[in-house]
Amino acid sequence: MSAATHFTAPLQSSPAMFTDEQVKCIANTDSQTIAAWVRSAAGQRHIMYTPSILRKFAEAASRLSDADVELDEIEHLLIALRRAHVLTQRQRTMLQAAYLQR
Amino acid sequence: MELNVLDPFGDYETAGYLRNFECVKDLDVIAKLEAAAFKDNVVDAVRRLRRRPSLAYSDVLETHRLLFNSVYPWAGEDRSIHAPDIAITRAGYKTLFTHPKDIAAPPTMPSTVPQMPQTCVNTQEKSSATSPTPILSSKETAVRFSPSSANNAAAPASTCAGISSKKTNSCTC
Repeated sequence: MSAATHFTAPLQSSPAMFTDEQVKCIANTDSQTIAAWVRSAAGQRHIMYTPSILRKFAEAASRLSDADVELDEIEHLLIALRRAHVLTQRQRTMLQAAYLQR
Repeated sequence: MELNVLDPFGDYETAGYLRNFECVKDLDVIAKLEAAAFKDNVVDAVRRLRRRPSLAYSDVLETHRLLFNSVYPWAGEDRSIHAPDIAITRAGYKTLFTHPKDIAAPPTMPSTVPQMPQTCVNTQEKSSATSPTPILSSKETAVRFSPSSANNAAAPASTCAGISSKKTNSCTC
């Protein structure tokens, strides 16, 4: 099952498994390559995205803030990788921005 | 076509929307970056808030920092630092965001409210012996203490009028 421990992750982030330079190299590729890398990184660590019990709260808050957007499988995997401390938050954002724009 | 984009820093063209880390200008992409940051951090943010015995303005700032500091370097900083002269509304709504000074200020009662309750007791005693005028004053006091009046006191009309005359932009974050 998922290694993305949604409810046990500490507030302080531990060191990620990839350096910013390594992630930047991935981010400089195209969307398909980024998606393949994300699936591979998650698959190798048996990480899956599982919605948290606060999903409905998060969705309601998003609707109230006029930001009712749907994230796809890759974006959810990026969140799961961050929660499993495979990526830092900045690395997750960098990869998501690149994935969406390339 | 001119875009109506919130740009308090004045560098949207070069630094992207609100100087986000990735210099993204596409608002649809920004919305997804914000949504992912929110989903990633909302559990920790709520958990932190539940541990707090009481909430203060600093908790509002810290919650914003926790939720969005992966997207914006200024997340969690007081709005008066970066956008002191801009009135902000939620896109599609007319209501202005509360000014940071109003959020930070402790709740206070209107300064015009008469002293209670000793004054009332004395007034009642006098009114029964003289005229009904003090009773009218007592009703007026009750109106001033009503919840709606208290809210108005926390955000004076003069403040709203002052900022609404300035430039108003829409915010999606």
